[in-house]
Amino acid sequence: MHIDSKTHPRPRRVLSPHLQIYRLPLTALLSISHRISGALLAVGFILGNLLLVAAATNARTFELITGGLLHPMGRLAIAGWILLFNYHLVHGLRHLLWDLSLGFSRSKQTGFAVLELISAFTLTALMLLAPGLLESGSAP
Amino acid sequence: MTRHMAHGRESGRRDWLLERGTALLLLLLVPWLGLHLAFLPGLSQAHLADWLHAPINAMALASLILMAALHASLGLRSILMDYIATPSLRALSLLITRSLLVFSAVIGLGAIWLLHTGATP
Repeated sequence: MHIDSKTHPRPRRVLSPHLQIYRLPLTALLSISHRISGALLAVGFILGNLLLVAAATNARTFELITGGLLHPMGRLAIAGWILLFNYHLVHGLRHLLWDLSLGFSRSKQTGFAVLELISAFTLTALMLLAPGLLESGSAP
Repeated sequence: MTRHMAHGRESGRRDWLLERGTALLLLLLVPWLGLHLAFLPGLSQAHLADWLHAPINAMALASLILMAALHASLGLRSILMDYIATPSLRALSLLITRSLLVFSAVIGLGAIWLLHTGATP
């Protein structure tokens, strides 16, 4: 249906606050962070496959890359990736709970959000502080 | 029109199930991979090839790659569908994203095969 803009001028509506100045509630921030972390994890997935290709085709290149990953900056990048993964995992679990119609209580939303953040950081700290890891020499 | 809507509903349901199913499998596979990689004696090509020589490890890593590619494809698709309004640009970005993920998964699986069979140079 075509509406003639001359005979039917567009009503002057109140503009919503722009997203850049609108202060998002914590739950909304966590929701968008789930998407951002997922997109960054997908980049990590592609890089991980490239690392596998390097391992399969050129030992020298593979050692150069793993050497870079063991550098403090490399370790920082890995720590960041683990944090993104843990956050995505924790928020994903919350999505699974929502799918089961659990955790919709309005009063507990912020509490759940804080719990998510604490869980993601705690999991990351536990993984990073686990003793030995690459130097331990013992397979599980 | 009704058929089109029914098809949309069916594919939406399928995508929803796939996203959750792959998430649950990744919940098992990623910690498994993390533990194994963390306890490898070292991060050399020889150590990795030795570890991937075991069929169970090669199969599990290949499953992880497939599940992660599918999960990422579905997740990125919903992001692009939500934020890109122009149909042609949306179709192009979906094509690029999916192609990148498929290509990445294929080369990853190929690398696992080479490392598993010991056919590395």
